[in-house]
Amino acid sequence: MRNVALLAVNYSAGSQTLSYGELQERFGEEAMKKVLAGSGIRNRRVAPAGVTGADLAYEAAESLLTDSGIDRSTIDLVIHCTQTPDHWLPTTACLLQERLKLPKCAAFDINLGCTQYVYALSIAHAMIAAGTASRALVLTGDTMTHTLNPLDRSLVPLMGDAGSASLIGLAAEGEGFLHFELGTDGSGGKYLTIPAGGARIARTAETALEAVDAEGNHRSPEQLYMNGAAIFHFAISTVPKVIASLLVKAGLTIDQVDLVLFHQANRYMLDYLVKKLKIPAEKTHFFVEEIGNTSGSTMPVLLTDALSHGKVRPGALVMLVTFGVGLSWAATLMRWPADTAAAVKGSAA
Amino acid sequence: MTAVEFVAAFADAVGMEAGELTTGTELNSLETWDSVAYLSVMTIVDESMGVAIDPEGMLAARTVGDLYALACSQQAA
Repeated sequence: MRNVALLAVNYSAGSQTLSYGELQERFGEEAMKKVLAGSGIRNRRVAPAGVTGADLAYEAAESLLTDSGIDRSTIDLVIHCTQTPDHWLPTTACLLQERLKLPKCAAFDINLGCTQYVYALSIAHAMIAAGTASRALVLTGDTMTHTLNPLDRSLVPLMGDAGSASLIGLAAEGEGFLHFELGTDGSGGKYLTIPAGGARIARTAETALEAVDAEGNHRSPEQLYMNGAAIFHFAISTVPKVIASLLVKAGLTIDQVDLVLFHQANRYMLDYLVKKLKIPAEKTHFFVEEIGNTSGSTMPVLLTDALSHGKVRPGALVMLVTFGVGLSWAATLMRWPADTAAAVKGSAA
Repeated sequence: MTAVEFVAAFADAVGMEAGELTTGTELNSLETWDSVAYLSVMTIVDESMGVAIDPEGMLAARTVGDLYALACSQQAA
């Protein structure tokens, strides 16, 4: 099988900032103090109305292709991950293929949330390793803030919008993706959901009606709902098992991994997971405080930030761990290539 | 973790003094028993007792003692 690696990554965040101060005015000082303590998120980047997840993915991809000098004719696969597609159909990836002027490629969407990025990496890896494709663009893009009720204190202070673009291609022996660990527990689908608006529950005048929950959050069935306690329970009980399984596959222990990156759900949860797993501070990275939880884009956003801070060294063993809506989990272990610059410019095999 | 230790840890999670609470304290009587406190209690139980306390069971609990009993029953299972 051919070796496949993540070669370059970039992101584009929503152009507006929803500040802590603005939310203090909306929800009150005491409430926001608690939210900040429970999430660690101070500000969040938000896409204005009319900007879609595909627009953010497009911006990230255009920058990546242009800045890295990538020959567009070498891209033969586009995987776009989103839960806020431009239309019911056509598939958003097809529209992005045209906007990005990629002359010859397969293109399709993945409808997953927090775990979308690692799932897409696993598919790109499999298709390139098998020889079905040679160079892939994995895109993510969601505007989850557009699915929120502005008076939902359980979600508005947490969520942000972003899109990303990653180049996946051939790598040298021993480099790139080593193992994946993917899984699902659909019984928890009800804990993070937009119940109405799909084929199962169509939008009606009734589904547009808002209700107020016990904690004073406003929400209609057409807007995002999260049971925070259930998601927290899922994360602290599942993530350690996922990491353990991945390490068993690789025949490694956690202290042999150079960098462990987690889906940036909220800082409180991540701090606890890092402590529970005994991961030293220098072996992880956080980037959620000023951007918010950008759903499936948190991992490529985090990776871009970690790279810019010199935390991903050539030859490093890097683990990506994602978890969330579905409920779903996806993790991968990869050896960062020694020379990504050469590989980025390299032609398709 | 003993019941006394649990009450003390719970008090910390809801921003109160241990002496202000007992296992019989009604959760709904506490102003600070909210979604943020839920997460704190889950963290404490996971860390001290090695179990991720069931969120639906937490919701059904009436008193501080009910939460402790739930954690103990999960630990024993």
